[in-house]
Amino acid sequence: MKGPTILVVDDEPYIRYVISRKLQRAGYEVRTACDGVEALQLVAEVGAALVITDLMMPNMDGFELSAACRADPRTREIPIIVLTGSVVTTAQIQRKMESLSNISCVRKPFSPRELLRTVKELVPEGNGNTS
Amino acid sequence: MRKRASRKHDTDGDAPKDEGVTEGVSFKVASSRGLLFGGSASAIVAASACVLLAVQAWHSDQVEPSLIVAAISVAIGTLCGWQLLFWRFVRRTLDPVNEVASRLSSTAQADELHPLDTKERNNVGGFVGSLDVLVSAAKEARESSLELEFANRVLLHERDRVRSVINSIGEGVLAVGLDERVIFANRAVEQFLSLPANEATGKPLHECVRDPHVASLLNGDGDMAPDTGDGIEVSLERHDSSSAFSVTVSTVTNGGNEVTGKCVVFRDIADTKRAEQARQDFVNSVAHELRTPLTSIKAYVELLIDGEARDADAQREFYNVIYEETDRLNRLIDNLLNMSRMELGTVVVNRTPTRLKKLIEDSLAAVESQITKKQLQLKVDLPDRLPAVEVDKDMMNVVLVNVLGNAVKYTPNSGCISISSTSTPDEILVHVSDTGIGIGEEDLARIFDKFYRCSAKPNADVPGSGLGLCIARQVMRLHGGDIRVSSRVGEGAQFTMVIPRSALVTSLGDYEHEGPNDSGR
Repeated sequence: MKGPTILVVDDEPYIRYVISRKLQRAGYEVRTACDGVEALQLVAEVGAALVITDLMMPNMDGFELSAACRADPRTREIPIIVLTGSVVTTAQIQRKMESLSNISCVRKPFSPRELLRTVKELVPEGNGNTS
Repeated sequence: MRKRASRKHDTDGDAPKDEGVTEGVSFKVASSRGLLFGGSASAIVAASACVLLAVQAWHSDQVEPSLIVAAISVAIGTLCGWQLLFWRFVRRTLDPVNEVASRLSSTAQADELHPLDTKERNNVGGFVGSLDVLVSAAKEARESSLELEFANRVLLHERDRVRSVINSIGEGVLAVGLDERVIFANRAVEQFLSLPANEATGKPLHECVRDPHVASLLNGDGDMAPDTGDGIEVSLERHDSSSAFSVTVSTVTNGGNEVTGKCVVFRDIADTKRAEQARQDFVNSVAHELRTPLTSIKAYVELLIDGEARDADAQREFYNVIYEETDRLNRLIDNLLNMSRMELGTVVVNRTPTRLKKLIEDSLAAVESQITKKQLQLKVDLPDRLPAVEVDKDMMNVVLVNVLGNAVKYTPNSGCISISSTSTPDEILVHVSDTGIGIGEEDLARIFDKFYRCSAKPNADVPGSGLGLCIARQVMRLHGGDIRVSSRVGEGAQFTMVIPRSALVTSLGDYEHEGPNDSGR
């Protein structure tokens, strides 16, 4: 039986790969996208139990993607983990996303181990795909 | 008199005084003349009486004719004597007066006033003394009026100078009186006002200020209390029209502690805000660009530590990623330093005569492994003879490697990259073309901007810092050349490096010819 689907969004292929590998080994089903536009399409079509997204990406960044997810009733409840390597502080991000609930922030460079722990808290394994 | 009167007519009133003095003198001279003619008249009357008496005596036949003749002679003698006496008297009296009068009139017409200094003062001494007092008073009056005129000119000059200084400063300045009316508005403040600066004078402040929010703040309706403290800064950021300005209100005192009004300074801070934003964006981008390879390195190292890559192939792959990302980090730091040096102007262009062909070959060697890895076809189309150029070899190498590296990165496997060189009368051109994904019109305009990366989707898979082309352009411009680009989405891209002819090495025969055939020359 397939685990819950997690959408990994980052414009860096190495980072997408390392996260996917870690999550897949932990039993999750992983889909990847390299920008917000692609991610939004995927999440609307396939759905996801969780979205892990980078902040700075071409076409549509992490802020826009999170806002778009929250605006759509189908994706409103999906928890989001934001990965950020910019100078923007967590508080600043939270302020910017204050209207958006259920968003956590992980700073780059992150530890895949710790990221997996955060994911497990949000989406316990074996819960099945919520979509 | 006319000359001085016209010079002074706007400043003082001593000219009429001089005229009065002259008139007084003429009057006195005239009255002396009256006395003279009166005396003469009475002498004539006396003589006529003698003659009449003589005539009457003649008719009465009682008097001796000789007596009558004597009477007539006496009459004539009296008349002549009187006349002589009177004439002498008149001369003695009137001559000094006439002299005083003429000196007075010449003094009045002179540029400098002197005491009258007449020779004979016996009988007109007091009169001349009084006139001298008048003359010195007139002199003082004239001197003080000259001083006033000078001071007035100095003040007008000062006023104009201060006004032109205030008008020439970039900040908008409004001087406001205690009655909240505008006293002075400089030229730069016009953009913040609802009416021309010269029309603002005398109008209530809140009627002149264009922005209603600022007007109410200045009016004391808002949180700001303008009369406390030395100055208050109100920063208003108008994102709608990309304008931002700050308003500073300071109290104006008259040297002591008495408040005479306030000074409102409007400062356009749009450029400062933009620069601040650009700096923030830059720092943000740098942090992001540095953390990206660091993130990969950390993650892959952790996987290796955790023993997640059990087979040798996976391990090698992970080590390769770490190796590549370390290089990327290093390149990024190099690029940042280069850019910073170029922006600060501290970069020294170390021009040496360099064979263009050698430069191209060296840079091709640097990207060779990437070309092979992607199985790209490489076309080199260079003329047999390429000139030598006087350039900074290392910098030019960076440019060529950056441009060639880009071509490799954005060209899919089995694509084609070509490098060629042509020349025009003014320039030597090096072209690098690829059959890659191309660049959209929107991206073309910004492709040389710092940290700018094309938004076309496949690019997301290509790592890059967005600094390479920016540096390439700066280097080319430092050499007096430039870099150009032409492209269409899906049709590859062509970058052209332009080297000006002025960079050509003309005097060094050894460098003019290339290739093994020419090396023996």
